[in-house]
Order: sequence, then structure tokens, then C-alpha cells
Amino acid sequence: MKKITELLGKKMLFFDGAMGTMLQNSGLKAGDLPELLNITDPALITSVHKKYYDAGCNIATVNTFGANACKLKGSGYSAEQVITAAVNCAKAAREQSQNDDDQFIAMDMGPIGRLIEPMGDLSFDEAYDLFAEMASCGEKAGADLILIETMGATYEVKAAVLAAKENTSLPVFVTCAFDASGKTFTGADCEAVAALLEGLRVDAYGLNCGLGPDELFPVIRKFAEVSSLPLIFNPNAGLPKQKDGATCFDVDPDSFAASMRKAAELGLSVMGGCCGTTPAHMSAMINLCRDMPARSAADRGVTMVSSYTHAVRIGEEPLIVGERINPTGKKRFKEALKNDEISYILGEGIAQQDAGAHILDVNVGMPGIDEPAMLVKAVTRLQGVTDLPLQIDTSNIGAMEQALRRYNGKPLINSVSGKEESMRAVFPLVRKYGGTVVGLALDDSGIPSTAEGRVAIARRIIETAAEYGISRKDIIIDGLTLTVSAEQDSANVTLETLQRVKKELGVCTTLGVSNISFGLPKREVINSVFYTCALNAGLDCAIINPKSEAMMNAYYSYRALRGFDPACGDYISVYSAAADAPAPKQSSSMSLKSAIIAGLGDAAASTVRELLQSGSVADPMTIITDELIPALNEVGDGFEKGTVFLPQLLMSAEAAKASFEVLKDALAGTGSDEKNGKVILATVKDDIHDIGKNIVKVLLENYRFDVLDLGRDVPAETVLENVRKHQIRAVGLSALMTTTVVRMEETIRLLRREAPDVKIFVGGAVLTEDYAMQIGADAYCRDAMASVRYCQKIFNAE
Amino acid sequence: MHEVTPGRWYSAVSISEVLRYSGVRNEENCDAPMLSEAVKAVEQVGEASLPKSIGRECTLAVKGNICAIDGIEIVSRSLAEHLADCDRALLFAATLGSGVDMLIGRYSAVRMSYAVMLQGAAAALIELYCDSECAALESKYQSEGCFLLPRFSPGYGDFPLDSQQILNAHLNAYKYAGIAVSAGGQMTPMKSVSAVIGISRTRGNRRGSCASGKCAHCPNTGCIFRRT
Repeated sequence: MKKITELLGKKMLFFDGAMGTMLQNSGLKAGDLPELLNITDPALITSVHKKYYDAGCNIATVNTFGANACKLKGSGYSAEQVITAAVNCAKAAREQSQNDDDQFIAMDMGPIGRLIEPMGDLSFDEAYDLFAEMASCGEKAGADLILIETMGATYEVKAAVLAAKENTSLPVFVTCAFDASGKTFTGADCEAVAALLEGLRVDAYGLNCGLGPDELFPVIRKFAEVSSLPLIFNPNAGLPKQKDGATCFDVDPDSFAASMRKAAELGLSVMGGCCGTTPAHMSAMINLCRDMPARSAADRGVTMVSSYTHAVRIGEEPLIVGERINPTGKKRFKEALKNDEISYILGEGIAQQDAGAHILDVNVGMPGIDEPAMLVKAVTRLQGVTDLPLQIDTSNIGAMEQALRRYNGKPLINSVSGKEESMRAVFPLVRKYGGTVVGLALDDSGIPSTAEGRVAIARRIIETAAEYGISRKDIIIDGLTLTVSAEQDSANVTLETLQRVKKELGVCTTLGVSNISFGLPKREVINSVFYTCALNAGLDCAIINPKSEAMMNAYYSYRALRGFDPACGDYISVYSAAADAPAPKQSSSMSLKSAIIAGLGDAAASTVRELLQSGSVADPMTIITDELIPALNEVGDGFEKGTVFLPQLLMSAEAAKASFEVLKDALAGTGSDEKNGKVILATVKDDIHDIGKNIVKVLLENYRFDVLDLGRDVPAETVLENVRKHQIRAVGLSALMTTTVVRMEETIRLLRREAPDVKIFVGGAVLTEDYAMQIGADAYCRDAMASVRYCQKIFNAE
Repeated sequence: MHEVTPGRWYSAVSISEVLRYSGVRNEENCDAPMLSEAVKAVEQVGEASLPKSIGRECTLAVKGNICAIDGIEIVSRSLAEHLADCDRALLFAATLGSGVDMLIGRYSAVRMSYAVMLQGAAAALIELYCDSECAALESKYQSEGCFLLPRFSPGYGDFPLDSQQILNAHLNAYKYAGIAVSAGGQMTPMKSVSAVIGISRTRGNRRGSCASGKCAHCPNTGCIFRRT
């Protein structure tokens, strides 16, 4: 028998239609696990497959959509039992079928039914393990391919694809569920899905379920435009309707077939049906579409990277890669890395997105830290707060692999060089996980001093990548920026390299622009001019600081001048807004105390700066005692009396924090910057609602407590471990619901037993004073200020 | 301007409601910047949302404290009392989507005061969305001479929270709306709702309906978020 990959793209292949609809028509009740019928009524399942084979379908999708250990828990059957039985049903049907066309069996893997972190509580590794078990059972039982279908979350897709590819040798097909707006339920658009799946090198992909063929026509058309791989289309038989308590669908077989024929004209490779479709629908479709030409793989040559929501095309207009998440030359960043202060890194990411970055570079390499662990943490946490694609920037191959594995999309990878060793290490990772990789124009002999030499290395990188099956579209070349003050001709060589790489090699380009000005005064001046020169020479991805006004001036001006900004719309919107903005409030007109009470962070920070610069304050500590603390107390008292509300309290807290940041350097080494004490905060196990805990954190930090935030869904053992490790005296726990207060009680019990001296304060929507005492807490804090007061009491810090 | 852009699905939201959910108890105490933050929060949450809902009509039999919904038995006196006189029930779930959780998470990392405002906006918008989806369902049932009772969710009275998982599975809500239930029994995306809606031929002495009943039926009359 031929392999399905031998036929894919050569002739139109047909999936089957719905299994669930057929089983419901045979009496399956909603809520029952259809997969158990593989064991309890195999004849029924076999008969459904046979009907589809007889209708002319090439691929029977076995009845294992939800046959994962998570959903089967408590059913009395293992995934292996259910999957083996399912594949056996399809095998029996294939033997019984009179149809002699090519017939295959697809192991079906649907969503697990829980969202992966940070959107939900399932870990990526747990999801991977569940899919890995399913995939290997499917192959062992005799499936010919794996179909991962009805996926709405790209992270879950990635876990499933890796599980299938790492645990089986079967071809992998993937279909996602889209709505009429062209998005999956976690917000991914067609290009984001295409970039991810092509990067992971699946054999074919497309869409299924959701809606009928007409409603999904615009979505499949978009896929047909962007896809370089064989395309699958398995829509529903229209929209679900309820009739006499049962769900039915509104598109009959002939109409379905006509709509599918229209879709096939866009260029499809595999066609079939999902909910509501029957053998009659498939038969009508196959009769109409059997002789349609099948779409084969054809590289569209578009260079792109993606996040979990969208793709960014490289090479069409200038892009900004934010360079700020990098410890090189940044004292504060190094301190944050050393102290595991991930919120600082997240803040840098968000600020760059707000400033206009399209992609964020992530580099956390520093002596003395566990780089693989920190890079994975930074990447996974960043993709929880920003939807920009990330550039994974490391020379540590172990860190690179782990970060690529956990990245939810197709990343930029920084970098590979022309050194044999580098290419041997990096290209297999690009091949496996997908990504667009930055190729540095240097090799074992160093950085060539001529453009000729650099282009030659770039060519070698592209050719070697091809040997690994990596297309040139997935390479972007860094022609290397060297310091102009050290070598007179270096800028010219870099610019010539850019031009020649674009012209002679036809690939996209990137540069770390700011390197040009090391050692020179007023670096922004020369950086922005070099940036403009580089854009003109063909720079696609500029690694710059998007928070630099000079660089962004160059960016917006270049776009307006070179036709990238229709009617100068962006330029006008950025600069007319700036021109119309009222003059910033003069901080001198306002006392620091008033600025904090009014919640004006910028004004508060600049007032502190002025006070320090004017020399009118002998001891910076007096700014805290005379202005900051009284302001915080006034707002805090107002909150407790009900005259100040939560957003105002927090705005004042943020203004105070901005002032502290300015004061930090002045206080360093004086002993005055010592904290009041270290407090652990955690939202308890099984609870993912952490906004209350986050509010408490902001306030405690404001009152100079050192907060160790353990996050949400925190096991009791983790709390204890950290109490011991950091010799903690106070622990704050939050829980939102009665069900998770049980976990809070368990955590308190463990702490009482193992760390009896620790004080525990609790809060959360369902808690009361009595309830808190009943579960053994030392204090119930009804709001954030109450938590502050309690900690002040414990640490005698009032 | 302190008004939400007209013509959006969320344009009808009440800014007072957003402020109330954000911990501001009366709008008069708000200055212009705070009102404008509330409007901005509504716009951002509205644009980050991918709202979806799913409804399924089920058979209903109430006996004592036990409600059998499509044969699935739920033990709850509150639910049984709420559904008395009903001959059928609708299971209902709705979500704003995970984009809203991500948005709130983003600002929780950098500007908590605004995260609180986004949280308030999201709470108001999921209510608004549920009301509008239920209004559509209600008009369909009204034409049959039936009323839809206010939404009754797990956690109300003694309606067990762990029923969330049962309702979700019966609705196949992950597949059709992307709504999951975590290992701890919490709904994700976080701005999601599941509920049982009684279908009755008489309105009886109940207040409100599934589209406008707000929380009038909740026995917790001292709640600061209670809407009258």
C-alpha cells in the first residue's frame, strides 16, 4: 500500500465526515464518552467507518478525539485500550469495504479540554505527555497518520505536534477551528497558524469544525493565499440548530458538495467534513470534486515570524526589534536577573511594545545565572503579557532549545554564524522547532573586513541551511555593525554588505544598530543617522531601542518619505498628537506629596529629581519621611474611610513607586534603602484568580516590604519551601472561592506543622473574619491596606 | 469625552457599572481622568474580546432537592427552588475569550491601577454580553409563550461550584466556545459564565428574566455589588 504522503498533493484525497453525529443518530447521549463505544460496541463504530469508506472516503478518522488520559479518567479504561480498539474498528471496516481506492486510518487527537498556562492551568509538559501517549498508542495499533483536529489554542497545537513527531514516525496533519472573523478562540489568525505549523514541518494543515463551508470560505481562501503546504478543509454541515431537543445542521449533502467544490477551486489537497456531515454529504462531495487538481507543497517564500495571535512578515516594510531585554551594559537589568525580578523584564517588554516595537529580543545571558531556566521563564512569562513575536537571543544551545520548545509561535532565533560548529548546533533546532534564524556574517576566521567576505559567509550559511532542509526565507542576515570610532570604514562596509545581501542573495537583513556608536558622546545622534542610512541600504529588522525618541523620529520619517506610510497617516498621528499635547504639568508647581496623592507618577518622579539636583535636600531620606510617607498615609487613611477608592489608592502607590525608583540610587549605600521585612504572597493551589494578591503586592512594596511573589496556583509545599529558604516571618495567602479555601486551609496546616513561627494573613472574596480564624489563619485582611497594617504590626514598622 | 465609541457590541455598557466593579462606589467622586480611564478600559477590553456563547435546551425534572437536567442529577435546594414550575431548562455558557485575561495580566505587571479598571470593565462587559445573548434566546421562547428565568450559576446558594465541570462537558463548551474548567474547578478564560436558565410558562413571583434579572434573585442581599 502506498503511503499517504506519496499521494498528498498528487490527487485529491478525502477525509470522512462526522463520527459524533453518526453516533448521536444511533442513540449516543450528550455527555457520554463516545470513545468508550470502541470497546463496548465495536460493531457500531466499524459500521460508521465502513459507510464512509464505501462513500469513497480515503481516510477514516478513528474514534479517539477525546481518548486522552485526562478525559478518560474514571471511565475504567486506559487510553491504550480505547485507542487500540478504535484503530481495530477502522481496520475491520477497511477490510469489509468494497471500495478499492486508497484507504488510510488516521489516529485522531482532539483538544484536551483544558487551557495551557498562562491562559489556563495545564502545563505545557502535561499536555505534551497526554498527546504523546495517544500518538504512540495510535501508531502501535496500526494508524497510518495522525490527525490533530479542532484546535483553538496554538500552544496546545504545538504540544500535540511535538508529541506526535517525537514519539511516532507517522505523517502529521493538523486542522484548527476558526470562527467567521478568521480567528481561533485564543485569537490566532490564519497567518499565525500557518507560520507555526510550517515551522514545525507538519505534512498538511487547514481547518475543520466551527462553521459550514460557506461561512468558512473567506478563512480557507486566506489559508490558500498564505500556505506553502498541502491544505485540508473539513467544515461542518452548516450551523447547528436545535430541533426537538436534538442538535441538527442546516446544509444538505448537495449544497455541501457545491460549496466544497467552490472551495476546492481555491486549491485544496484533502477535503472532508466535521459536525453534522454524513456519508451522504461525503458521497455528494466526492462525486463533485474527485477530479479536482490537488494542491501540492510550494514554498511561497515569505519570511515571517509569529506570536500566538499574529504573524509579522519580514521584508515588506521596516521593522523594529526591541533591544532592551538584554543585560549588557545595564546595571539595573543585571540586578533584576540576579534577584529573579521577572516583573522588571516584563515591564521592559511592555514598554517597548507601547513604544512601537514589532518584535522583542530576549537575552538573559549573564555569568552566575542558570541561563536555560531564566530564558524559558522570561519567554513564557513574556508571552503571557505581550502578543509580539519574540527573538530568542542566546549563544547557549541548551537554553536556545528549551526556549524554542516553549515558545508559542514561530520565533526569530538570534543567532547562527558561519562557523561550522554553530551551524551544526543551531540548524537542527531550527529544523525541528521552526523559526527564522539570524545568520551572522562571521566565521572561524573572525569578521571579514570587506563586504565581499561577509556576503561569502552569508551565502555559505544559506547553502548549509538548505542541506538541513531550511529554506532561504527562514534566514535573515546580520551584516554586523562595528564601532565606527574604532574603525573608520566600518559603517561603509556594513552598509555595502546590506545592499549586496539583499541584491545578490535575496534574503532579508537585520542589524544591531546601536553598536555603531560605542565610545562616542551623544550616541543617539549618530545611531539615528546610521539607522537611516541602513534603512536606505535595505535593512529589514533593526535591533534598536524603541524608547529612543531620535530612533523613532528616524523610523517614522523614513516610512513617510519612502512610501510605507500612506498619506503620512502614522507620522501625522504620532507627531500631531505630540504637538497638541498640553505642556507637561510643571512639577515645581506641585509638591511631591500632592503629586503622589493625585497619583501623578511622572510629576512625582520629576519632583524628586529636581529636589535631588537642586541640592536643597541634605539627606534624601527626608524626602521619604517628610513627603512620601505622609502622602501614602493620607491616601491609605482615605481608603480605609471610604473616601479614596481602589484605583486611586493604586495610582498613588504607582506614583510613590516612581519616586522610590529615582531615590534608589541616592539612597544606595546609606543604609536608608533597607526594607521593612520580607513577606511571601501566594494565591493557593487550584486557584488562578490572583488580582487581589497582585494589589496587595503593589501596596506592600510601597510600604517598603520586600515581597516574594510566588504567583498563583501555588502548592502548599512550595510555600513551605520558600518560607524555609528565605527565613520568612509572614505569609499572605489569597483564595477566591470556597473550593480553593480548602487548599488555603491545607497550606496553613502544613505551615503550622513545619514552620510554626510564621504569621499567616489571608484574604479573598469568600473569606470572613470568622472563616479565616476557623481555618487557622493569624489574621483576616479584608483589603490591601489591612494587609499593610498587619505586616507593619508584625515587623514593628509603623 | 467620557463616552464609549458608538456602534460597538459593548457601546451600551454603563460606566458607573465599570467603576463599581473597579471598587469605586459612587461616580460623583470620580475626576475626569478616572472617568476617561474607565472608558479607555472598556474600549480595550471590548477590542481584546472574542465573545462567544453557547446554549442548549435540556429536559428537566425537579424532585425535592434534585434537579435532573437531561438526566444529569444536581443536588441543590437553591437550584431546585429556582427551577420550580419549569418544564425545561437551558444550559448556557459565555466568555469574553482569553485575550481579556492576557490584557489584564499585561497591566497587572506594570500598572495595577489600570489593571483594576480593566477587571471592572471585563466584569461589566461579560454581564452585558450575557444579557444580550439571553435577550435573543428570550425572544425566541417568548414567541412560544414561555419565559426564561434569570441565569442561575454554580456557586449561587448551595448550587455546587463543581457543577461547573458538568455543565461545561454537557455543553461541549471547550470545543464550541473555548471555555475550559481548570483542575481546581475554575473557568478559563476567567471572564466566563455558566448558568442554568429555567424555561417556564409562568413568570410567577420571580423578579427579572435571564436577560435583565441581574442578581435580584441572589439571597446575599448585603452584597456591595448587588444591582437593584
